[in-house]
Amino acid sequence: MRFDDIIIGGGLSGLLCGISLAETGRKCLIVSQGQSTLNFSSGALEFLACEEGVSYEQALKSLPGSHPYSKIGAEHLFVLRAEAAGLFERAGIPMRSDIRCNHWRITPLGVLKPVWMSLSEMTFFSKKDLPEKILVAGIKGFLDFNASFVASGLSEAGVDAKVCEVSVRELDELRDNASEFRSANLARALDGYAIDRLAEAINAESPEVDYILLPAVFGLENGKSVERMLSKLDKPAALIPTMAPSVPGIRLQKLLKKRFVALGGTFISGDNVISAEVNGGRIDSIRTERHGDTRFLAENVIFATGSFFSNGLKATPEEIFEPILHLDVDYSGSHGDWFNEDVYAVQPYLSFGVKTDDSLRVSLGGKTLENAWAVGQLLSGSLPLKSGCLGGVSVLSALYVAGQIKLAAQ
Amino acid sequence: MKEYDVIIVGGGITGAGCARDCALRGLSVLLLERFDLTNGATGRNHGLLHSGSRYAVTDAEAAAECIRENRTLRRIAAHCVEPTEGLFITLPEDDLAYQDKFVASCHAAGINAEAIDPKEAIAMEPAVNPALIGAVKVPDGAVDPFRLTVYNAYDARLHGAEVLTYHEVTAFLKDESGRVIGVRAHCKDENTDKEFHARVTVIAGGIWGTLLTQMAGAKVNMFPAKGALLIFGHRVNNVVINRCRKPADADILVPGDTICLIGTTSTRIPIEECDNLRVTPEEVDLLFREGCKLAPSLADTRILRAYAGVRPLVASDNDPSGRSISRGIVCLDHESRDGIPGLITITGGKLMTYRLMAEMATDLVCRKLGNSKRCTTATTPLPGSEGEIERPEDAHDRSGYKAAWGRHGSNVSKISSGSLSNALACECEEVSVGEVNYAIDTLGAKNIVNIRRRTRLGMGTCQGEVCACRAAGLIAQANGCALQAKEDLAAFLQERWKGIFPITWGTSVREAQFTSYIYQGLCGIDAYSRESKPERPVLKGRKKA
Amino acid sequence: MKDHTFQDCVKCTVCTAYCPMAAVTPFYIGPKQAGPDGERYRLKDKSFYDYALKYCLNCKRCEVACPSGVRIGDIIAKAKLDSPSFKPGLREWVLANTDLMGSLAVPFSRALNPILGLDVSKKMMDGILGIDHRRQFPAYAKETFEHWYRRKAAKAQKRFSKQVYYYHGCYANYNNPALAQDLLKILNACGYGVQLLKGEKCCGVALISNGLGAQARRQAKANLAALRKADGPVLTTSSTCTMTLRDEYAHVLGLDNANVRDNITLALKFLSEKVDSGEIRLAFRSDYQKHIAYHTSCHMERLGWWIYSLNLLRMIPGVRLDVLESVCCGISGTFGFKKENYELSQEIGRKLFDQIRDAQPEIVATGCETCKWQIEMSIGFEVQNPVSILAEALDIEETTRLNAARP
Repeated sequence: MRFDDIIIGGGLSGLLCGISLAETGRKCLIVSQGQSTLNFSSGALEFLACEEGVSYEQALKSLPGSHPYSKIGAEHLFVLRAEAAGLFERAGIPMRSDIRCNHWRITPLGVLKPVWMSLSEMTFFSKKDLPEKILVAGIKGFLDFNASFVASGLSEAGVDAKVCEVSVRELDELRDNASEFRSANLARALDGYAIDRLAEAINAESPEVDYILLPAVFGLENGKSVERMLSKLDKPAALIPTMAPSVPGIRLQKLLKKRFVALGGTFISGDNVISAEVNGGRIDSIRTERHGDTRFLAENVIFATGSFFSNGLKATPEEIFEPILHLDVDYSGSHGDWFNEDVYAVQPYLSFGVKTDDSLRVSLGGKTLENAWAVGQLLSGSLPLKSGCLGGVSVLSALYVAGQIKLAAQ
Repeated sequence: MKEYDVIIVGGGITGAGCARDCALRGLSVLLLERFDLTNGATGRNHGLLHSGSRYAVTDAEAAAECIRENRTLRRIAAHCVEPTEGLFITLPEDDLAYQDKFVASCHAAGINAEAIDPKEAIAMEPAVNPALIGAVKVPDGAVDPFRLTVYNAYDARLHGAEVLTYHEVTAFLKDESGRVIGVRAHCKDENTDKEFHARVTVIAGGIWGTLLTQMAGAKVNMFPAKGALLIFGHRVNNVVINRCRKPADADILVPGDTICLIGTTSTRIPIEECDNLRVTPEEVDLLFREGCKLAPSLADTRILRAYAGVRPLVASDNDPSGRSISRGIVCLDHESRDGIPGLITITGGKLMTYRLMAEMATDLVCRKLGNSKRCTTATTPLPGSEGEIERPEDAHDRSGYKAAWGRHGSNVSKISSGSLSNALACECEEVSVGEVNYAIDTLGAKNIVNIRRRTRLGMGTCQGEVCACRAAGLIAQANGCALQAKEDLAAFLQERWKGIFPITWGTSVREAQFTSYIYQGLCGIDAYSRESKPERPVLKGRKKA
Repeated sequence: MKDHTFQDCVKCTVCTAYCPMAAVTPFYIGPKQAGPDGERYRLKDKSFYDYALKYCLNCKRCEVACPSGVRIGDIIAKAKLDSPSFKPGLREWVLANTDLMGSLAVPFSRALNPILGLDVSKKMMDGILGIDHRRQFPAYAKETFEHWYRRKAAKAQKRFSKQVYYYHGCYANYNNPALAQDLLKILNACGYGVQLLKGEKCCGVALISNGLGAQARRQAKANLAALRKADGPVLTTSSTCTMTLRDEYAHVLGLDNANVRDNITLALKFLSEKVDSGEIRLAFRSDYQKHIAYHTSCHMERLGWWIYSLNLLRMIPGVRLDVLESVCCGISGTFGFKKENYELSQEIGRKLFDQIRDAQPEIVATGCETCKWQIEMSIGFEVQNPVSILAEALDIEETTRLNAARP
């Protein structure tokens, strides 16, 4: 079967790359091995950790040349950040963003973390205008969101935060299930009138506050339940992500996939690319586990296979490798050097990824492949957790590569 | 000031066993432990319920002790024991002639060892190396050292003993005559020093006993021997597998609860390293390689953790060089030995013989106190092991019930139920919210690591990814301080990582990255990670410990 | 054959969010607990989580969602077969023995079909067997496909130089021989003769899901023997049979099917690839105009082979195609027939039914026969296998000519 572009990996970077290409009418295939890390995400995307007043351009200067952002370049990044906003909008996904500098989200532990772009119902504050009095509402028996953790973190930031615990009878039967009182199950049960009554219960606790925070357990399929919930509350409100799975993350994944398919893209789930045929410095075709002998041919192949979690990279005691084609990987030393004994220190393994040139083309045996790119967490050179660039690298590298492919096709 | 009959220093299995024995004999008892129960060697071994066979050829006395205690523990600690049976296998590279000698020695020690056909051994344990050329069936088993210790301490408390964890002894108090009349201890809960008085003080500090006796003015030569082990993600075997040869490295594979573990190595280390043991890549490699010889399927089984404990090897008094080492029980009366009345050391020995060690130490305490009560610990079951306990049926609204029954025996009835309590906190090990609260309220858990030891929370394949945050929430609920709970959460994840990072490859590196995405990326836990502090209690001021 | 994939589970919980059963009942502990989590405990004691296994639909959507390659559905299916307390009853036996029931029923189909449709018989089956009275049993054919083939088609197949085998399965044989005849029509037009396997049995999927492991293994072994004798590709029309033969035999029943697995292919995959490579050429009728909604059945989703059906359907000039979001229809083979599952089955299917109602197609296309029963019974839309759609849309004469003209 023949496609213009094949994208291996159906997470954030793979989908955005696919959507961007499909929007110009290219025939794209995404092969996804399973659900991606989007399903555990915060519903927000970060660009780079820096203080609020600092412009992204300034912050970028401190990055090493090996960082994907350094390869893309500050000017491109500025354009791509704006492009990303448009892409989400066209996909019908309401986002808030500031392409110049950071805003802040509130984590499940009540920590303020910098964000660039966020689903519109999630927290997105300027540090200067944090609400003074916040009510954090927890749901009775829901262990994956702890209102007191959020409140204590906010108190540390000088907010007058109080907590309450609410429930509605629609949750009672589900709560009896010892293991499945999870965010996604709650989101299915919290629909229609259940939402109205939950809002009533929260309103009863909130006369003196000026803001309400509650767990993101609304709207697994679309944003309707979220809108309903927020509209029924007496005070302005926002959602805080829960422990896995992430309801806003799942919705984001579903909506992006829907957009890709609506643009004519083919999205195969639950399959693994097992080999790729290389000829004269180009990848001609790929084969997958479930499709056996069938060859999928394409002009371009984009590796959006993620890091270790997503099996884009694999580790043995002896080596780190890219499992599909054994692409060149950036890492050094032996097993003892890859990990730090202090879990909170810089963990070198998190910066490992495939080698790319400045266009993000991958290489095999030291030779660059002309039509094969890497995007997202598979790229080497970033420390996504320490430098706070996880989502940004995924989104912007994907759009950067899609842009180059589109340009070449013109 | 209250004067106890006896203070026991050390909350390992020996100390807990002593506390129970003393309490059952009517003495007033105080047990002091500088960290949590089982923090030392007790919580860092195989969990093997030795039949004694391993020592039969080399140490007949130890073998006989083991088999006696093996039978006793099956009776009195049934809920901490899994009667799995054991195999001693001879591989082609081993000397089959050794098997006859082995069987004969076992019989001489009173161990019912039976040479069986290799085919029968494979039928009994399909995971065993099919290349085996000889097999002997022995009454080995598995024992959970955490719960064995915790329930000894718990029973001691039921009989009036006080158990104080996170109390570190900093000095021995003496009267003018030089008699030890108590100890000074630093209470980590309140960050204060306290004095406790007793007529007799027993040092049951394992390898750390050497430092304690030094502090008291005596000298006991002990040599720390590090033993490293690997935990695998699930059980590949349901029968203990040993190599039938002279005891060597990595030749015991024990199934324990949901996992199995291979051990151990034996390396002399300096005493200073005992508080911060590291497992080296060479040790991991050796354990893995040798383990695969016992059960080849280990080769594609996920390694969950690597960890190490320290055996207290005691040098004979007449050989301070340490060349003549005994693994036997050493019970020292410092009055007759060093002229320090009021002080006793109980050390050496092994997990298997803790009850016997406690009996010997308590006999000595009783002689000194003029108490003539006889020891009853060999016949009195621990709480949880009284009578037959029927296995419960489980259902969707109490998924963790059957697992909890396996862990706590008849005490399972003390775990609160109802939909909020039945909810699982730990999904790998099926630990309910009620069980966590039971560990906090009844079994003296003061932080998430303590909860782990009492319930297996965080011991499953995700190593705390799903449950740590939930457990921290329950800690916050119990002590009303979310900040401390979050700091404890950060410390718990660090504690888990310590055992993971030596073996991070394959699925473990995926798991580690996922955990860091969730806790550092999504949650921002870094904000609560404090400089590497020693383990500390979070649930302060709780009387029950 | 040891399945160790459960140890690759990193407890990300994402499977629980995609399980259609967990979405509709608070009584199921979900694929993660029943699957990889439960498996660690079952290694110690097989009785762990017995009570939960009956809820699993074996839809494999957890496996499609799993980022860790854990064969969650297989783990649960195997646990069900090994479970000490999961005992099939008379109803399970009746529902699972599709082969036996079919061969008993077809000779009397003229009399039987109306009886099966009677309220009184439905009530009886409900009362005695626990088969829900709201279910309509699929009608039996007047003549089995095999019988028809021997009588009418076998001889004609011999004249083709290129030959393929057809594993028809129970449905095409007993209930819908027209589907099999449609396939013959297409393949013959494309220049292929069609042979039947010697000694084909029911694939056994219903035996597996109803806990009849020993019988499933016996039938699987017979099928494997038949498949090994085939000296050309073996084509299928049912997504479930295909998945069972290719994957379940090895993963759930522990049988070695390695040397036949790759030879078993959905007919639509075979055709799609031959058309793509130019080996086969298709010509379509200009008067075929249809609005079709394609439903990806669970097992087709697991196979990933819906792309071939869509590829072919999109070639038909007169087809307006809506591709529905892939969700479970709720019947899960025999599951939905059971009285206690009827409501759950309908609730699961609701999301699909709503999509179909929104699309208002003339035909719903799907590669699964039990999805067809569920959709037709529940909302009354006509459902066809894409093979039948293709057969109707093809200009047979022209296609025959195109393929015969080629060297």
